[in-house]
Parts: sequence; C-alpha cells; structure tokens
Amino acid sequence: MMLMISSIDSYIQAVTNVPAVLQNKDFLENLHPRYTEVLSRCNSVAGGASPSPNTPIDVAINTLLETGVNNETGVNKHTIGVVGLLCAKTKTNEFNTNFESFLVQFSGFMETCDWAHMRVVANVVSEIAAAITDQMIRRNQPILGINLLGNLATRLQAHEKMLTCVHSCVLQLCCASYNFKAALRFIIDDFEEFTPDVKGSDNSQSLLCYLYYSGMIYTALKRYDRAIYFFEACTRVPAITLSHIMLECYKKHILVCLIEHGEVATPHKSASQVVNRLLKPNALAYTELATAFNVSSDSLSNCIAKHVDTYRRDQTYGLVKQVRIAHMRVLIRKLTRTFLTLSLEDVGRRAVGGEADNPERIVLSMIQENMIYAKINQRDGMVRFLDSIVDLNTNHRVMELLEAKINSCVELNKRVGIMNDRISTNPEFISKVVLDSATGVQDGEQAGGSGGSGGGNQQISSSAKFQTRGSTSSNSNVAGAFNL
Amino acid sequence: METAIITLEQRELENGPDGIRVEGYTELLTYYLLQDELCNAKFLWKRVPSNMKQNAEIDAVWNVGKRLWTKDMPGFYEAASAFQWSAPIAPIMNQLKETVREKTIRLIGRAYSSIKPQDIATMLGITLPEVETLVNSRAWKVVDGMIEPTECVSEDVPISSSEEQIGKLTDYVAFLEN
Amino acid sequence: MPGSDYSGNAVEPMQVDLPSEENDNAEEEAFTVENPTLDLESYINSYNGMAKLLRLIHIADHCPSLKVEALKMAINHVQGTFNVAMYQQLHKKLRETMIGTCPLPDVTGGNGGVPADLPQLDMQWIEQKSKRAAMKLEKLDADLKNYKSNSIKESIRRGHDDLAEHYLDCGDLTNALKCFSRARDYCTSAKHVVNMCLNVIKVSVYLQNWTHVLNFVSKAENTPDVMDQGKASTKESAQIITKLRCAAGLSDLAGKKYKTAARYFLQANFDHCDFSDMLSPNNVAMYGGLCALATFDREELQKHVISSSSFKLFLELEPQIRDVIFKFYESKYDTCLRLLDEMRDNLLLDIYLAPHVRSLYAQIRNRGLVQYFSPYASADLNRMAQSFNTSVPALENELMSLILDGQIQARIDSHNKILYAKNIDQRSVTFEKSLKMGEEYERRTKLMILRAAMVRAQIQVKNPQKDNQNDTPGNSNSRVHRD
Repeated sequence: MMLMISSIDSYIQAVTNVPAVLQNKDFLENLHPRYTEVLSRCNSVAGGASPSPNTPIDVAINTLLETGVNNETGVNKHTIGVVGLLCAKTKTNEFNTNFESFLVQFSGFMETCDWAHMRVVANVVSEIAAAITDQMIRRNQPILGINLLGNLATRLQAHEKMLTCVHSCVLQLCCASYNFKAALRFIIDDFEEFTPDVKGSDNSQSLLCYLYYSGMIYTALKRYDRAIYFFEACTRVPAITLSHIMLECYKKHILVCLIEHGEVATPHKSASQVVNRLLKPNALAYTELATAFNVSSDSLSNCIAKHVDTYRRDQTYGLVKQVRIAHMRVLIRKLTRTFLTLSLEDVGRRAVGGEADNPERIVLSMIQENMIYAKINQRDGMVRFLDSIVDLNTNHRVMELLEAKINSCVELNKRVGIMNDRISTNPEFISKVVLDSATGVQDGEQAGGSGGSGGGNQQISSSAKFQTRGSTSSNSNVAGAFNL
Repeated sequence: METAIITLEQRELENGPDGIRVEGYTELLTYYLLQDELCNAKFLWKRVPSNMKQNAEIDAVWNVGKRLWTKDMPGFYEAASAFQWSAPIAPIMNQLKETVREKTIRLIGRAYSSIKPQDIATMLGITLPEVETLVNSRAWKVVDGMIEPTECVSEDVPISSSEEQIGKLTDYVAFLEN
Repeated sequence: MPGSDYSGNAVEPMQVDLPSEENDNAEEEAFTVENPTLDLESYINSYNGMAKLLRLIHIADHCPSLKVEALKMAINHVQGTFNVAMYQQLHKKLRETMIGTCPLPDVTGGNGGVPADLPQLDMQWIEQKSKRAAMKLEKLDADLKNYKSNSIKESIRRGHDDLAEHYLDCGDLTNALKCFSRARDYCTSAKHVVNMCLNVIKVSVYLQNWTHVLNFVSKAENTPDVMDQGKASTKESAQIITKLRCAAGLSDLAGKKYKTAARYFLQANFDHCDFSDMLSPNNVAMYGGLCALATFDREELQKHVISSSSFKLFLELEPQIRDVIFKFYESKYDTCLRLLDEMRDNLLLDIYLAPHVRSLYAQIRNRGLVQYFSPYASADLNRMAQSFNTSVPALENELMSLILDGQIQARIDSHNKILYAKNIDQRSVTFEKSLKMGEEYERRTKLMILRAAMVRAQIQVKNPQKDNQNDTPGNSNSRVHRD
C-alpha cells in the first residue's frame, strides 16, 4: 500500500479509510515517519508555540477520537492513528507549553483505546511514555506521572509476565520522586515476554534500565537480596559489548553482594565472557574492594582510601561505607562460629577494629536483626554465642517457611517444564538438536539447585542459542519435524 | 492502619504534595515509623517539599524517626515525648512508643543474660523505680544488683493436623517421582 | 587494625580467607638465611653438573655467610665445563661480594681494595674455552648435517644428543632442550624414547618448566616395552622408574600439589636412586617426608611412611626429618615443631623446597593442631598452647582459622580458655541447607527464565551509537542513592 500523505487531512483520510484489520505494524511503520514530517511542517505554519487548542493536530486527534469509537464496545478503531498523532504531538512545542491538556487528552484516550492495537505499536506508545516521563521530571513533578504511566504499563501488558518499555519509565519516575514503595508493584522478577518495543537488539537499553532501576530501588529499601538478583540479571543480558548501564549494575552488584553476603558469587558463565573481558577491567575499584574484603580490615581500609575518589565520582560512596560495616559484621559472624564465649573487649579488638562504636552496641544490633544469636553478660563482660535460639525441631514457622519454599520451587519447576515442552516441540529446535548431536555440541546453561530439571535447562539454553541465529518460528510444522 | 496508609499514599500519587498536604505527610510518616518501615519513612521525608518541612510537627516526627534509624533509644523517648502532638498524630505516636518499648523489652530478654538496671532504664526511657516494676512484672531475677532477664517465648503457630502434613508430603513425593 | 596485641604472631587474626598465593612463584620471596648448619662441601658433593651449579647459586643468593664459599665452589665447577658466560657472571658476583664484605682494605692487608684470596679472572681460560666450544659446536653441527644427508636415523639421533650435551655443557639450556627434543623423531626403539624423555626431563627440571616435566614423565611411562620390563626389575629400568617418579614429585611439589608429590617420592626405590644431576637421595627423603607430613592423615602416615621399608632407608639419610615424623606420629608436637624450626634454615637453602617451606610448615602445624584435638571432647587451651610452643591468644587465632575452615569441629570458650568439640545438630543444619538450596534454586531458575525470554526476544546489547554513551541512568542514580 502506498501512502501519499501531504497534510493532516490526508493523514486522517489514510487512517480512517484503512480497515482496522490492516492497521498493523507495517502500516504504521510506513505512516509514522511521513506524518511526523508533515506535522513538523504544519507546526511551523501554525506559528510554533501557539497555545490554541485548535492546532491541526488537535483537530485531527479529536476527529479520530469522535469518529473512531464504536458505540457498543466503546473501543476506538482508530487507536493506531491516534497513537501516531499523540506521539507526533510530543515532538511539538505545544507539548511543552500545554502539557496538562495533553495529559488529559492522553488519559482520556486510554479509556477508549484498543489495547491489542496499542501493543502492536508499543514502540510508539513507549515513545510517548518516555516523553511524558521526561517532561514530568523536567517539571519536577515526577510523582504525578506514576499513576498515569503505571496504569498504562499494566494495561499494555497482555499478561502479568510481560514487560513493556513503559515499565522502566514508571520506575524512573518512582526513583526521581523518591517514591520507592509505589515502584514495587511494577517490578516483575520473572517476566517471560516483552511487548514488541523491548524486543530486538536495538532496544536493549530500556530493559537494562528496567533491571538497573529495580536493583537500585531494592537497594534503597535495603532489600539487598532482591537488589542482587536484579543487578545480576542485568549483567546477564546477552551482550557483545559493554553497556554503561551493565557496568553500573556490575559495580553495584559487587557492593551489594558484599553487604548482604560478605562475598561476591562468581559470575555466571553465561555472562562471564563479557564480564571478564569488559566489565572487570572497567570496575577495578570494585573488584579490588571485593578482594580486599576477604583479606583483612586493614586492606579494606587501604583499598577504600585508594579509590575513594572513584567511589565519590560513581556516587557509590554511601554503599562503600556500608560495605565497611558489613565487613565488621562478617567478622563478628565468624566469631560466633568459632567461639562459645568471648569478652566484649575481644570482640571489639578482633572485629570492630577499635572504632569508636562500642562492640556491645554492634552485637546488640546484630542480635536485634537476627543475624547472630548471642547473650551478653554484663557482669563479666562476656558474650556467649549460641547456635540458634529457636529450636528448629519444634518451630513450625520454620516448617511453614520450608513448605512455602518447596511449593514455590515446584511451581517454578512446572514453569520450566512448560517452557521446555514449548521448545522441544519447536521444529527448528528439533532440527538443530539433530544437527548438534551429530557434531557433539554440548553447551548447557545450568540452573543447578535441586530437582531433576538439569537436562531440561540444557535444552532451553541451546535452543536459545539457536534462536539468536534463526528467525522467528511458528509451531505449525511440529508433526513434520518429528518425522526427522 | 493499612487502609489509612493506602489512602494517604494514593492521595499523594494522584495529586502530588498538594493532594496529601503536610498533615497527610505527617500522618503517613508516623504510620511508616509504627510499621517499622524506616526506609520508606526516610524517603518520604526526602520527597516532602521543603516548604512543608517548615511545619514543626512533621519535623518533630522525623526527628523521632532519625533516632530510630540510628537506634538511639534514649534519644527516641526524648524526642517522642518532647513534642505536643496534634490530635491525629498523638494516638499513633503513643502506639509507636508502646511498640518500640515492647520490642526493646523482648530484645533485652533475648540478648542479655545479665544487665545493669541503669542500662535497662536508658534503653526503655524509664526511671529506675519503673525498671523495678518491670522486673517484677516479668518475673526477671535480680542477682547482686544485676538483672537477669528471661526470654519471652514467642507463641508458636499451632501444628497443622497430621493428615494435612501427610497430604503435603504425598504431594512432594508425587512431584519428585515425576 | 590495631591488632598490636597479636604482634607476636605475624598472622592477621582474620587471615583465614587469604586467597592462595598464586603469584608466589612469580615473585621469588627475598629472604636471607643467617645461621645455616649446613656442611656445604659434603652437601654439594651429592650433585654434579647443572644441578650442582644451580644449587650453589641458590645458596649464594640467599645465604650471606656461605656466599663466598658457594661462589668459589661454583667457579671451580664451572671451570670444568664450557660454560664461559656463567664463569664470568659468577666471578663478577664473587668480586662484588668480596669487595662488598671487606670495605676496609687494611683489614685484609691492603691489596688495592681487592682481598688477597680473590681469584683472578682467568682471561686465558675464557678465551681458550670459548674457542674450543665454538670449534666443538661447529664440528658437531657438521657431523649432524653429514648424518642427515646419509639419513641414518640412529646416527642423527646421536648427533642431536651430542649437540644437546654440548649445549648443556655450555650452559645453553634452551638450545639443549631443543636438540634433545629433536632427537625424538629419530628414536627407533622404546629405549631410545625413554632416554630422550629422560634427557628432556633433566633439562626441563633445570629450566623449572614443570608442565614439560610432567608431560615427558607420562610420555616415558606410556612407552610400552621398557616400563613393562621395569616391573621385572632390571636394574636399569628400576632406576628409570625411580627417576621418573622423582621428577614427577618435584613437579608436583613446585605446583603445590604436596600430596601427590609425597606419593611420588614415596615410590622411589632406594637402591636405584642415583641421579646426582637432578636429586640426591637425601632430597627424596626430605621432600617426601615433609610433603607426607603436611598432607597425610595419621593412618596414611603410618602405612606409607613409617612402616614403608623402602622409604625407611631414605629416612636414615636424614635423621632429622625421621625424628620429626616419628615425634609427630607420637603426638609429641612440641618436640616435633622445635625440630622443624631447627631445620628451617637449611631447608630454605634448598632450591626447590625454599618457596614451599612456609606453607608446608603451616600445613604440618595445622595438621598437628587438628590431630591433637581429635580425641578430645574438650581441651585446655593453656596446655595446648604449651604443646605447640605458642601463646594462648595466638593459639586462639590459629584455631579460629581451622574452625572456620571446617578442619576442626569445635568452639572456643575464650572465657575459661577451653576448646569444646561441637556437636552439630544435623537436623537444623539440614533445615538451613535445604532452605538455602530452595532459595538458590528459585533465584537461578528465575534468572534463567529471564535470560531465555531475552534470548527469545533477540535482545542483545550491541555497540551503542556514540552519542548514546553518556546516556546511562547515572543522573537518576545520583538522586536515588546517597545514604
């Protein structure tokens, strides 16, 4: 279909004359660059910053909004056309000067739009979302965007395991407004699908940002275990080059791991190549910190002193200071594993390193946080370390905890099973496996842990490998493929 | 309390600082403290517009919060008692004081095998005679002027019926077999 | 860390997790040995060839009191070879040392600053030797070319070997290794192959190229005929086997694989342990004994060392290490450790053992601590410290690292200075483990799901456009985190 668009009117004509069925991505991709061009021309004619509500774009939008809505279903059949116009509007001056009315228009449109269509043009939708985010932050009112874009993100999802570009906008707004609690709702730790805008190799930045923001939000809330997860996930995004976002994640991953576990897990092998080759040499101040952490508190102090400028520049000094405290706590935890009793004085000398804070306070606060089990005896100034104050045999809470864990593992296992089935019935995978087994290629990603899913995971990863090379695939040929 | 918190949060999300106003912020901040959500409290304080921070009460609440953040117990009781709280805040603040005190008592029971009365007084923000009453009410022992607290046993969840357990085990085994 | 209270013990209290010193080999520790009790002459007489020279140089480098003597001996030895470069080098060293140690010429009688007993640099010898070496090289080269044109395999092999021997004599180890290796293509019998391997091993040992040594040891062992007959113990093959075992042991020692090193040394046959160009039987006793002590448990020690009839003969050569092993076995740790301390200086003068003395000693000591406590439910720290020649705080530190390492299942009662064996509550440990396992499984599986999703969506971080480079979320980050 050739589209000849010379003015807004012809755009409207183009949009309204095409049956909704045809308003798919290809259609829009043809349309989008042209009308942007047209609009910019119209805009300059209209005199730029005119606040009039009757600019050509608004007229066009209103026309489409009025004519498109189906009275019975309340769904606008011109959804894609409106999205295009709204997006174009974000590029005009009016967007800036008349932002509130744009928001009203946009949220009004969200009530009638066709979400399936929205998903098809998710890249345009996310462009709008990014523009709104940007404008909100520029206006220093990021908190006002959270509900709007949060709503957009949730409704754009086809199911709750789907990630959209809008998600990272929401998180960005939450970060900018210090409202981390509101963000938690939008953090998905096991998404399985993306809206088209996140897909492909050109748009990885949105995904990286999403993971980075998630990690930062959990870090801010001191939920370090979750933060580690997201930072690690970010460093495991398939990569052939270094992204600065990944680098930031890698640095923070080290810091947060040290704070939470007192050690940094070795990078997963699916990430190791890029991590070893690119990330590590670019984060020396952090890898050295991790090494120093394991040596002694002296070397840790030296390392911090050596790199203090880097940490300040990277805005990580706050976390680094927490690493110091964590180191002390790790030392005390080690003491609990080796001593039955120890004088407070000795605790101070061995772990606190004679720093101003007194050892009793530190031990007390660790008891409070359930990090250690101990009893302080003020009479003789000794601490008595205990294994655990709760007797696990009689504590049903532990039982419950365990049951919950088992259940969630079972659930996960089922999901992996489903993924596995999906892959093993994929014809391209099957032909690939036949090829592979002929050449003896074996390169599996191991999930480890319990359960007998090791073999399955291998399938997933090798299929993943092949999908990077192969094109998208359909399941139509399953039967035929089995005959191989 | 949960619903109150959600309402306040929603008010802020919908209309920003103007929607929740300084009274709302003060209340939300106090609720966060009561819930022991210190991180949320801290960031709430950070996002309160600076002109609202001029308000004496919200400043006083955050002062209390800061003491909790640094685990400065005497400072906490002092700060919590120093301000004449307004009607909406006062009950939450009282509850906060109660909760913190109860938690500290539990902590003392858990962390000390013997402790000076003076230290208990400081940690709980009470006087020595009050410590004595507390010791008596909890049936803690006093030996040579040192108090030997006992641990409060946390109530255990009742055990689920054995049939239920067997049922669960069956499920697990069934899962493993497949 | 103001751990000055522990300054008696050089170890940081928390040095537990110190990563194994990988670069230990790279940076030769600079140490000096002050008070050796070594009788240099009798010691060095057990070696000849390059081995002798290398050992003398090692001693000269690390022991000021024996330096002059060692250098003189080395020069003496070198003069019997074609190694002109080494001669000049040694001479220079000796000269510097003697002038350095006698800064006041008056004391020695004033000979223009040069001590009277400083041997003159024999220019004539240098010239003569250089000339003859070059001539011999030329001849051997010509011979080899001649053999090659006649393509008689056996002659070519010998030609290579002769050339290699000559290079070795000149001190050119790299070329020696090259020529010995080249002979490989002209071996016609298993015996030749083994011979070639032994030559390569010898030079590789000199070069301290341990992977090479191990490669050729296994090559030799896989050569069928000779090794099979070896079982039938002809004298020659027994000797070969012993030599191979010792070379392998030496490589493993250098690679810090002390346990396998011990096993190799223990397989040496005393009657056929005669290869002074590599090791002396005394070395075998010492290396094997120390490695075994550091890595064997009580039972292994009893079975493979103490009651080994063949190794007993080795131990007789080194009564010190024999005593150490027996004292250790008898749990007389204080005597054992004292004896070890007395030996330390001499061991540091051993070229191959020196880099490992510290870690071997530490392992032996730890093994002692573990063994000491193994039969007890509780032990008095004061008495334990006495048995190990140490103070209670230092002992606490040592025990701490062992406990954290899982080598001792115990807890220290620092109040009463008693070490208690710890009963592990298997049930709660299992609970803890399974919870952790569940968490880890969940985490990893979710990460994998994410990754699978990304790969399916063909997401890949590619080269960003130049202008995107500064587009990291750093700006918002600054806002996020400043606590």
